[in-house]
Amino acid sequence: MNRNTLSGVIIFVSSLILFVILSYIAVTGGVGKHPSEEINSLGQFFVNNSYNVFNKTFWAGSPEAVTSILWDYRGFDTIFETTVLFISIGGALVLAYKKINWDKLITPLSDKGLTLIVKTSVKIISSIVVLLSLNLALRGYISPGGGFAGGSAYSIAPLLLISGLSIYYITRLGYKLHKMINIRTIGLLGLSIVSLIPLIWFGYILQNQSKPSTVFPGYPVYIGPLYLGGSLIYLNISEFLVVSTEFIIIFLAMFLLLKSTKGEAE
Amino acid sequence: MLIIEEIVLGLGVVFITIGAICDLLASIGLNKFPNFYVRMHAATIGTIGGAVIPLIGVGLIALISDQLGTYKYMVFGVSIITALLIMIASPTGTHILANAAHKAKLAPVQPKVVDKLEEAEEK
Repeated sequence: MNRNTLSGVIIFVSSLILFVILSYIAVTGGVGKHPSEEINSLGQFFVNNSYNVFNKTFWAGSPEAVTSILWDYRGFDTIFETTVLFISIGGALVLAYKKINWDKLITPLSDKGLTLIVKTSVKIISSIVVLLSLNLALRGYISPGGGFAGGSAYSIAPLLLISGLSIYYITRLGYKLHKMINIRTIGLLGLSIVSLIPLIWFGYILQNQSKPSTVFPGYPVYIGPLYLGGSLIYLNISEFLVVSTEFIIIFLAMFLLLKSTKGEAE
Repeated sequence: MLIIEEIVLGLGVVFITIGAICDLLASIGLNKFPNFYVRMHAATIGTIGGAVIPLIGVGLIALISDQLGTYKYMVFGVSIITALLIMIASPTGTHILANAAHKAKLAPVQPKVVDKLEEAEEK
């Protein structure tokens, strides 16, 4: 028996043993207990103090557990992650700005892109990505997600279109540099306005719901049947705008940098 | 009504079995085929036959599982949508990989029976 057959036999036997053990564990319920229907004492505590409809002194206006526990700190989280991204993207652009030939975005050159199969499926998938990212951003206060996740998911759609078709295709779609910067500014303005509005009623910065010590009545939680989650939906939408446009700007810069350095090498 | 449920359950089980067989064949082919392109063909059998068809089967079985409550429609929809997404994305990925490898001449077509792409490029 030579070396290759021996190692083949060993791999086969060990994977068979692994398969049998894993199936035994899975069948006999080794993956853990099913969660019970009753709420335990810790859960009762959080529900009482976060989403208590009958006693609104300490309610966060959001049935999602993480947001409820964080209460107003959800706003701090949003503001500071936007700040970090803003600074890092600004730094990257400052470093690379002189090397980028932004005029190349405007001049239509013949750039064929990849094959027809790739173009078609990239178009389908990028439209699905846009829908998914909007879902992530607009339902971020009741499900996992939020502005940052939604924005970074949205920026995948133009990235797919750039690599599948060409950078000129997405400029024709309207992803232009100055438009992106304007939308980012609108998002930043929205963030600051939403966080400063409670100051008019002598509340705290980034306050969401009313507190016993302040006059601020809190952002509306419901508009008709539509659930809003207080200030969270405005923060999510603004952060979605900021994050998606910043990522798109950096992707455009990256591809333009790639093209200009390629030209220098030739 | 009961007969329809039986038929749907049978279809689901058959689909999942087809998936298992396809996965087995794909793994054998992935190890035994001679060059890059034919091995990639075997890998695609693994994703389409071994992921898309069983997902449809799972959706069908979920549709008649009354113990899931209203979640059965969610499971059905999610598995059908996932199957569609895999069906669009996976062949595109393998197509562009094979195309790039052929253009860059990274993977020699050896042993070769016919290479239409090379013939088209020579013309």
